[in-house]
Amino acid sequence: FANKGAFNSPQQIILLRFQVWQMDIDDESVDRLWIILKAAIQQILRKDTGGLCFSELYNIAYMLTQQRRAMKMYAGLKEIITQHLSSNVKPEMVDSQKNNFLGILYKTWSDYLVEITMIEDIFIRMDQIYAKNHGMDSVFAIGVTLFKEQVLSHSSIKKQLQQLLLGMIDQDRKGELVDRENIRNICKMLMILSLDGRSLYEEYFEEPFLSRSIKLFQSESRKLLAEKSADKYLKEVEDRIEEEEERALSCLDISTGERIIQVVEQEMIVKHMRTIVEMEISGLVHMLEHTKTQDLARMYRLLGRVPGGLKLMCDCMSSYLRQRGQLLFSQEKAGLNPVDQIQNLLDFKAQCDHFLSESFNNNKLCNQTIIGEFEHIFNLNTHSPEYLSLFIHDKLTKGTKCLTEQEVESYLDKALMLFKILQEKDMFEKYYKQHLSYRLLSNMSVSEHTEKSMILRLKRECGFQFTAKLEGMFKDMSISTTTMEEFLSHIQTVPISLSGLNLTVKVLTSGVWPTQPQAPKCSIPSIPSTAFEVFRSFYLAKHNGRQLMLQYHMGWADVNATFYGSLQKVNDPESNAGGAQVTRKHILQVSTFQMTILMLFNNRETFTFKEIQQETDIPDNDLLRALLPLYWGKPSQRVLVKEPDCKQIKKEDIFTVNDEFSSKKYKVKMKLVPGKKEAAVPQKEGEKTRYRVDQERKLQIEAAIVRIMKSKNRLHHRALVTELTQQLQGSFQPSSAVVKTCIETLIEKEFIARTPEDERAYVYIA
Amino acid sequence: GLHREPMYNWQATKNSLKERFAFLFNNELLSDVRFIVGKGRQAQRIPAHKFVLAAGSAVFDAMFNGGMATTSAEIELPDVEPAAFLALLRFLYSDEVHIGPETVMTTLYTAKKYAVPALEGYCVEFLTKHL
Repeated sequence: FANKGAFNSPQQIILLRFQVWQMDIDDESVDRLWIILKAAIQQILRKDTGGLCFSELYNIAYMLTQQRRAMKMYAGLKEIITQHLSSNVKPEMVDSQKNNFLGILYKTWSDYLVEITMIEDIFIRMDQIYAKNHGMDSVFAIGVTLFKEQVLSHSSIKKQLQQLLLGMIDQDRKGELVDRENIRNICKMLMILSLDGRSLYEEYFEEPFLSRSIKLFQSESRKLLAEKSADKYLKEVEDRIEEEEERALSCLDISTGERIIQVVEQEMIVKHMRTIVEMEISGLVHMLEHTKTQDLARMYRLLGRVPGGLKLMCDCMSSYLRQRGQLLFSQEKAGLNPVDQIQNLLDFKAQCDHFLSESFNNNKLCNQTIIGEFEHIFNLNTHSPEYLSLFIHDKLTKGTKCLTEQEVESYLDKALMLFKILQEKDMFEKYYKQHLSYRLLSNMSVSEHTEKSMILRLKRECGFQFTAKLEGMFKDMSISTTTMEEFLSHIQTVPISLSGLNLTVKVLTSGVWPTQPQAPKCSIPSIPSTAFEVFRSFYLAKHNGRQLMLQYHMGWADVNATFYGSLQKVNDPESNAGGAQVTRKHILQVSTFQMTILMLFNNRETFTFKEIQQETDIPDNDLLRALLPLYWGKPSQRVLVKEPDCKQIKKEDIFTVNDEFSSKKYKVKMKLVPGKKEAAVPQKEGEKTRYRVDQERKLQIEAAIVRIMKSKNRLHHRALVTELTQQLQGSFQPSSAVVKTCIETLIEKEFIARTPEDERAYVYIA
Repeated sequence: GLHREPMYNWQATKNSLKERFAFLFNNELLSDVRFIVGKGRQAQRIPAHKFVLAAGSAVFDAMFNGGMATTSAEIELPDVEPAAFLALLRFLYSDEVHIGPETVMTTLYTAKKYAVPALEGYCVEFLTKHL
């Protein structure tokens, strides 16, 4: 009671009373009490506890502890237990090595544990004071340590334990019936014997278990890889992981689960993953090619478990996608229809997306790999902007296909996916404008609603500037409708005749539409030309100061045509209609150029090509293209006949109306030349647009440079290029060569100058 | 068997665990052990509940449930002061600490003997504050 020595007088009474309980006892009494305790401990270890009284023993141990005899008790306790273990327990265990060794060991251990717990109860006070406060071992720790030292570390016992335990696990792995309870008990014992850590468990069991497993899985995976395909191998690995997990959970210490799985992963996956993924007839590429969704999912699950596994898969997938995609969508594949090519690419993407969601759990890295490869494939082909626009055009043009609105919308969504990864968005916009203008002007659009929903998608993706011109086109269309209504009511009120001609004019704001500043010339016949002049003066009266320019190459006309037929030739003797002349009336839907050509034949029966040239004034290229469908095609549906009857045209070739023209339809639409350069009909447009886009890009780059230099005043070349790329990224990727030319131009024009101290830096000239 | 008094539904009149256990403190109701505490004339019979004591003290746990557990329903504790023992029980039943200058030392001794360090702590605190 030393620490309470500071008491002063008023508490004297308490001290006196307390001393009654705290009387010192002499050594003789201590020895007497210890003999009682010692006998009791020996009795407990002999499992002979009858007649022992806990309260009495506890009181003795408590008293001895209070009398500072703990050290004596510690030493005595160790001696008694050691004695018992070395002379009773160890020989017993050594003897029972032949027969149910593990069972007996566990029974001995659990009995011992009960005994130690009883002894521990007696020494609660000693544990509380000395074990906690003086860094001494607790009674329990003493018991455990002694068991370890005296029994388990005996070499033959240790060896026997390890061999039996590993042998049982071998049997269990082979599927033989094994007393798993026994394994579990021994593992539990080893963990308890490890006290707070797991060192003994590791030494006696886990380390040999893991190193044996490494060898096992090494030889197993070698054997499996020699015999099995990748999918079968992966199935085996998955089974193995499941089995090992289950075994660890049900009979080993739970902490071994993670470690043994790591061994399986290391030996069966990490060491062979490249072999598995690249296996020739069954690896990743095979699985992708043959839509092995389940096998791919398994590969993803297993390789996803190990570091670098997913990366390896993605790399392999990358090169496959790139190869396959280039095969599918290469620039050299010129023969294929652009719409089909885009569709092929989309189908391929859909297949990849199927893998992504069904096999790869929508993994981010897998998704990035797929998107990245598609971006590469798609942008490698310089036709992509045009093809994509043609694809959308195909879906938005009414007539040929009977798509529901939902189908169209889903196509547009897919197209937008490609648009998102398209780098040359500005180029796309040019084509889109052309194709849209065709749809709007020839009234071929599926619906305004659908058109606008596509524009909205583009706008969401690129902002309003990107779609401003496209929206301008819609605005022109609706204004034109109003203007035509006003025009029609206007000519009711004035004494002007349009000579029976129905005129429809669409006023297109210049700059908004893909019009040509110098439209091809054409001398259109006087009736339509007079009618247009009426409209022109009506329009200009309303809009002072505007200019109207006819775009002949974009116009259309419905022409009434009468074919007088001719006498049937005698070489058809069966025909009883011989000699009858049949007059046929048709409406021909033709272009403005074609109308101009056809109306010539109201004046005369024959014209040479040269005469047509002179009369119509249409530039040669356009003229040839307009003529071809009129004289060349199915013989019965030729409007004109040419002499001589061949495709090629010479100046002196003679054209006459084909009176034998016949068609089942009353309204006949002139098939257009399936030629590539027809301005009004979107086919592949090619170089012309690219040149135009290149020019516009230069202007954009120059403007951006001036903007940047004005705000920064002074910049190094590299920084300027970085800024520039950032600003233009939304519409295209400026090439460094073009950027250099633009910089040269601006230096020449004295917008910017090189700095005297650094050739590669520029300053803004205000 | 447990000692049941014909006291109908007393449980419903107590609103908290603490109230119910405080009620059982030094109460024959549901008790399953009896201590004879102190020596000679001073000795006092104190009823208790093994479960409550074993839950609060390793020594009682060993006494009632260990390998050498007693089966007797009466346990003599001649070396313990009845007042101190009651203070220990009160603490185990209700977390309440009733100590005064008269009982603090014996209570401290009892708390140590029955391995209840929390009560030990209160006693030491009382001593440092008041003495």
